[in-house]
Amino acid sequence: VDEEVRRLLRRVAEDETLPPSTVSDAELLEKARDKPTSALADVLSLLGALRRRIRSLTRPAR
Amino acid sequence: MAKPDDEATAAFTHYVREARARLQRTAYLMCGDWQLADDLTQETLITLYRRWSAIDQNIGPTPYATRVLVHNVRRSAKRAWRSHEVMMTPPEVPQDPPHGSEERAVILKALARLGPRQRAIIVLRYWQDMSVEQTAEAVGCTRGTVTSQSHRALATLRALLGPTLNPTDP
Repeated sequence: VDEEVRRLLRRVAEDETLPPSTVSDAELLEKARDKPTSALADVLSLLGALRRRIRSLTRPAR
Repeated sequence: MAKPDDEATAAFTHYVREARARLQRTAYLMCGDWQLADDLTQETLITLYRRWSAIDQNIGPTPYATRVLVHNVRRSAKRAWRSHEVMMTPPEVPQDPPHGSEERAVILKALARLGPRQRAIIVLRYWQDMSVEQTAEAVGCTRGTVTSQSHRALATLRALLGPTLNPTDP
């Protein structure tokens, strides 16, 4: 069944031609560069990383 | 957080060229909509660019990009659910073995019956060929959860896709 699931997922994802994106790679880079920095987003991201780290340290060993 | 310098930007551009299609196909398997998959991939790559300098280059950007993509897909599913965009009744899955594009539609309908987390786990484990540990890291859960959710999701898919999964069965 594992191999069959792999085959089916490949069929869905790979048999169809990837539709063209709404933005090119260059436009994407421009968007990423232009996006204003949000201090709040940075703080939330750091908190997320900290939470994941604490969770991995406090997770009981199996 | 400092924005990447020219060298880092070149490395990021190279990564985008190399990984964008795969991320987009992963997103499509997780959400079932090419347009949304494109948007979620763009969002993921923009986030990745902004964190590029903080990424451990020994590990590479893929684990972080995958984690962000899964987060974006699940957030988008939650948003859709809140705004009642999801179908109230899950689509019917035909019982006869399908062919060609019909088979793709049946598989997508079956995937749509899984919850966002189960669906992400199945896609990462069986399409991206990630290990249980890598999947747990990407989805933000324990290895035990990956194993149990994967087991349940496979049972659901087996029940829904019986003839498609086992086409030679009588």
